[in-house]
Amino acid sequence: MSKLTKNKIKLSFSDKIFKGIATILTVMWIALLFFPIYWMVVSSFKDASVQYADPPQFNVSFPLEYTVYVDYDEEPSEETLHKDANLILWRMFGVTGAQIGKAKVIARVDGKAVQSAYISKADYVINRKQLWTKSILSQKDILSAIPRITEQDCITFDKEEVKLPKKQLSNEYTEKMSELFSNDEFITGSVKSCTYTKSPANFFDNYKIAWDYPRDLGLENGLIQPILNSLFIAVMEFFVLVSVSTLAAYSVSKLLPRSVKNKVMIIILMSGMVPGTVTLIPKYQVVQNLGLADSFWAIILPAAASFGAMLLFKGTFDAFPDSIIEAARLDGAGEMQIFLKFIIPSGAAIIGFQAITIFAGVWNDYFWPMMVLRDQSKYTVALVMNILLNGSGAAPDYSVTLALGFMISIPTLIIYAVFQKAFTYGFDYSGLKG
Amino acid sequence: MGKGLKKTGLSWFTTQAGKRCIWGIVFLIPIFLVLAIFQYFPIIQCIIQSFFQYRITDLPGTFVGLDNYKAVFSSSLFYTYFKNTVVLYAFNMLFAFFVPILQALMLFQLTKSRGFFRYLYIFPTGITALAGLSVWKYVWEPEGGIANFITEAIGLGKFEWLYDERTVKFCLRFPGILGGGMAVVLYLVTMNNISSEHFEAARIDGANSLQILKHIILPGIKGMVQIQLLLSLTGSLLAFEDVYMMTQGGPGYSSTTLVLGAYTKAFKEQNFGVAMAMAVVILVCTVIITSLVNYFVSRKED
Repeated sequence: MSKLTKNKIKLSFSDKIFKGIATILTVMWIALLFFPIYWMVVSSFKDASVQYADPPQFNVSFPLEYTVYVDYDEEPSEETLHKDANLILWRMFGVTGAQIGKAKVIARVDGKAVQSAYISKADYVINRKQLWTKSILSQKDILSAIPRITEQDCITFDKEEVKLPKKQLSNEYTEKMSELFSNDEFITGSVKSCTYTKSPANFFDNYKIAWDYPRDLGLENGLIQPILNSLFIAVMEFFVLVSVSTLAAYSVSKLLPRSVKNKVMIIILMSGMVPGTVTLIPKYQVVQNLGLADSFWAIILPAAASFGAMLLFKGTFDAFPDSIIEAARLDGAGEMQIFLKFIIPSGAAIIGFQAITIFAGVWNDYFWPMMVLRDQSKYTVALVMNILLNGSGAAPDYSVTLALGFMISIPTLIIYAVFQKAFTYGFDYSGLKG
Repeated sequence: MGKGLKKTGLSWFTTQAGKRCIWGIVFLIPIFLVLAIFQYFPIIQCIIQSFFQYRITDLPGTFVGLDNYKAVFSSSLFYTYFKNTVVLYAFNMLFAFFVPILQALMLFQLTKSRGFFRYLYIFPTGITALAGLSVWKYVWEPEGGIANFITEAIGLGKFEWLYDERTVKFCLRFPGILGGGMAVVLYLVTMNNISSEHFEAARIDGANSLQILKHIILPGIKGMVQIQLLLSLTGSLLAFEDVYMMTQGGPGYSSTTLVLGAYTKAFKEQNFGVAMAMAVVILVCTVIITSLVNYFVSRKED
């Protein structure tokens, strides 16, 4: 079709301009369309302290590694170092705007680095929530929590080969930090200086935090459980929906007498006219009365009757030659046998199409799952995302939310990138041919 | 459907066609089971409960006749919800509806790179719905959001966007201006289905691109635009998920749509009777619109 009149008739000058404008506008509009993705990726790398910065930060900046140097008269005992390191590391993150990727303490004796301790931003964020709920820490809060901190093993202590940062830069935050710790009576050693350097190793810390976020909901293995939940729902929904709709489509396409056929189609079509949104409330009551509340089946079963899928299958089965079915019947094959042996394989393309649409649908769906699933261990990925965005009541932590958003978008992005033909094929097929 | 069969006598079922028919009925059991439980029954329950005052202890409660409906129509909130739905629809028409049509029209002009651009138009559809909403929520954030950065740069000052009753509906529908997605393909497919003879004839007659656009392409997609127009009506009538995620219907009730209103009535106020009455009102509207759509589709096919 696109080959039409190509080069047969030369385009006039005005046509060329017309085409040029169309090209330019298309490119611009596509650039605009990709803006949310760009903004999502950029923001997902931002530090929490700059996400509400005004004007917004448009480029991706590396997180920084801050090092606080503590001088001792003699090599500090393990206990002393643990105490000092904890007092310093946890409070370093309280210096807002510093964009800390990694906080480090280096213990020096006579100017020589002997021991070090550090914690990455991801470990800080993940453990901080479990250790303290208040926002500002005093020295006493930290001191009383040291046994618990040691138990969580989130700070790495290094005794051998203490590496000094390659570049030792200073900015307003390093000044703030050395000022904060230099006159601290709780710290045994004396803090003289603080430096920073870039820390590319902590670039993906927001993603680590997002991946581990479900721990807050009591899921030990991070995002793995929600992913498995979503996959389980998708796989079961696929099997149930495909079985239900292929059976129905085969029945309507080949088995029922013509007069009945159309009536059945009309009944099913009419039920498709009432959108699920309107019956949301009574449907919820039905699910509860059936004892399906808080179960994956509350999501899987209501989705099993898909009018669109049935129509697609019916189209394929209609095209399947009757003669083959007749021949099989003469050979003594039962209807179920024919269905499994001939009909199902003929719908393979549509079944594949259903697999990807169902996966994308389940992966995206949040409202109905939010209504029926209570138990947080049953949450799907979309529900975890929902909790991050709306759960806390306060302003959401966009950098982590968008990191999770981008992470969970990857499977659907790949699906749309790879199977785009299939989606458009399904489109051409579903009677929208015009 | 059973009645028609009984007339022919039970012996009919022992014939080849009869046996096939029995299998046909057996194969239809699953879909009708699912439809009955999760589609028909909820609708019936919805209608019945709309005449009762809901009480969890003795269902279905006390019969109150049309009181729930009276409550719906006499409540000023219902009209607020209605107005919100209409305004959201208007914004949707203004920003979102014509964008895919324009994009498809321009794409249709390009012959060489059409496939590539089409690919790019669909690609962002892969972004998870909630992730897309999060980005926009971030964009509208009064502190640190891009929206305020732009309005301030061009001298309009700062706005509260999603937190302001006056701007919230605009913010909810403005993202539609990006277009893209399956709608572009839908219109493109429709344009591709216009017979190439028309184009060739026009070219030979010396028509330029603009004339072809006006006299061939636009009339060719008119039917599809009409159908989409009606579909967008039901779409807007039923919209609530994205609104709920962005604003929870707030600030105040300024972005609560009809469906969201019914939802709040049911689950926040536990007033199921009135909620069901609202649902029935929405249902009637939807069925009317959908029938119109079906009428248009069938007329188009003839």
